[in-house]
Amino acid sequence: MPIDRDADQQQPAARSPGGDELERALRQLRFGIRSRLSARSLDTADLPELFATLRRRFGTLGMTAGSVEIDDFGMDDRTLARATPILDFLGDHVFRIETLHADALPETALFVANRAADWPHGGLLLAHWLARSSPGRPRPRFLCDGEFAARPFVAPQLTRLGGVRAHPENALRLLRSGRSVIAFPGVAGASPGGPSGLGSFGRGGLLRTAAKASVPIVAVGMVGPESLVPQPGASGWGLPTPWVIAFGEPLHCSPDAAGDELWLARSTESLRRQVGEKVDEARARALRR
Amino acid sequence: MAEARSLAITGLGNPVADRFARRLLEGAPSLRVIGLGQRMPAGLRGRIELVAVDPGASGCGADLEAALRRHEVDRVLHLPFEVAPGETFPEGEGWLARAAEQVAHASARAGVERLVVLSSTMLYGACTTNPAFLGEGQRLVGHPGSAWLRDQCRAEEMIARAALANAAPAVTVLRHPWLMGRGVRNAIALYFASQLVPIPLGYDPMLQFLHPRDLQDALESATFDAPRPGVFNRVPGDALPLSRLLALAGKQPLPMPRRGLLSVPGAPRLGRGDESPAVFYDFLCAGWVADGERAAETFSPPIYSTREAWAAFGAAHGRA
Repeated sequence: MPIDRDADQQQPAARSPGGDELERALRQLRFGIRSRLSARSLDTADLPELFATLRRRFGTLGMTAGSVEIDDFGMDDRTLARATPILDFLGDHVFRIETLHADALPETALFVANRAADWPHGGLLLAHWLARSSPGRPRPRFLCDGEFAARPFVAPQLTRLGGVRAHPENALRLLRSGRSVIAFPGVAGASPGGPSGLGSFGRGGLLRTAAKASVPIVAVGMVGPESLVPQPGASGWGLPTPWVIAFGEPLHCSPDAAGDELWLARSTESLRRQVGEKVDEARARALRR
Repeated sequence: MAEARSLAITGLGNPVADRFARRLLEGAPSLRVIGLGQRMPAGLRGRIELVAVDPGASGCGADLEAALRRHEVDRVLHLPFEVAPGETFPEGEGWLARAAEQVAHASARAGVERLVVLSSTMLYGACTTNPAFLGEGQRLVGHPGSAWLRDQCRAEEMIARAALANAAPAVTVLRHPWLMGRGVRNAIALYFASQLVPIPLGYDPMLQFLHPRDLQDALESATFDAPRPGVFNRVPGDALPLSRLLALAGKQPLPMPRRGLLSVPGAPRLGRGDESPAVFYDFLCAGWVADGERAAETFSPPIYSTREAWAAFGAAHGRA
């Protein structure tokens, strides 16, 4: 059946009193759209320019010609500068990040947080929050799971935004150069009260790395990142919930401790417990919000 | 340069060995240089004596030893790893390992004081599990699809065993990344010389490029300065993402899915020309940046950064 485009104009009596204004607005909108479409017809388009633009866009698909300010791990200052307003918006307005005990954090530290989610967005936003709270210091770097650090399209972007593949040598090099590192050991989505707790924190690798670099370790409990990511057993996507990040007391490690297996084993267990306590504290705070 | 009396080079015919031989002839005309192999580049004929022996042929250890003794060689440079594009090689897989083993043992028996071996940081492999900087102690895995790299991994193993078994010579192994600069001739330089560069879609690895001069300096230092036994990554101090390098040289990247890349005519083939292009493209997907701190402390630090080496190449083939 053919559509009568001006049928609405032919039946004014059926409209409500406010309908006239709406009708007029719609007519203007339609006129505007049609006039714009006709002005940008293919007859007048600059096809060589369009081709050059498309070629340039396609040529940099998944890449960027970025700035020269690229550090040894591939972090790109220009990409970060572009992402900063988005990260600010996410942190301040979407996730409404709240921190606990963040007033006396060491300048360089190995932050060990619970792995709230498999995705690296927790690390990205925590690194951004730490960078924002201590301007002038080198930006903290977050360690990414090997799976994400190898994924096409994702891996280059994470690298430019400060992500580093989770590897003890990477962490040690960063810490020795005065950059803080955020690590996420354990099992994704696990909770301290769950059947397996937070999962294994390894055999002292984190403590050994911090000891070798002579930097303190700070336990971090994060609540919130898990809400955005589909969890095992759950269906669909969650809505963003407010994040709470609770920091622990810095645990100082001396280089001599790197070879003390007993100390490493005990301290790893103590660190795991402390991260669990911080998660509980952050969760309690989140429930009160 | 030199208390060295006589020096032998294997691998003449490839660009690195040729360039180093020329440099020696110009810098130390009194030094006696012999070539061990079956090829002699035209420019070196009459200036270097070629001892026609195939270091990788089975059972040629005695011939090698005799040649080293006869010419009273006290320094050996084993440089057959590099390959000039377009050259054909009758040798099959295992040649590099056999050559390394026989040269190392023959050098020990002939009383050679120093053996310098050229290798590559490609032997670490382009693995997604690699740390951002690969130290010399990293396990050598090469590439599962590359007989050339597999062979070189075994060659390094043979060299290491020979070094353990014999008190002399002092063995120095120099691993270098892809070479880049004006006048570099290899499959990688040819690939990057084109204006439209097909690259793997969705990847942007950090890459290191060493200027040939820095490699030559390290070879010279390892050969003539105080002995520095061990394995060293001769790499520049920096690395840059592929996208940035292409932009610097004014190249147009053409990201393509893997299947498309492999069907591009003229896709680069590493090694002796018989490697699948997939091997090369894998080195453009994952990082294999090496840590050159130890080499920079032992030898002089490289003069050229990756960016400068790339710029020297780009000046000839682009706008960098």
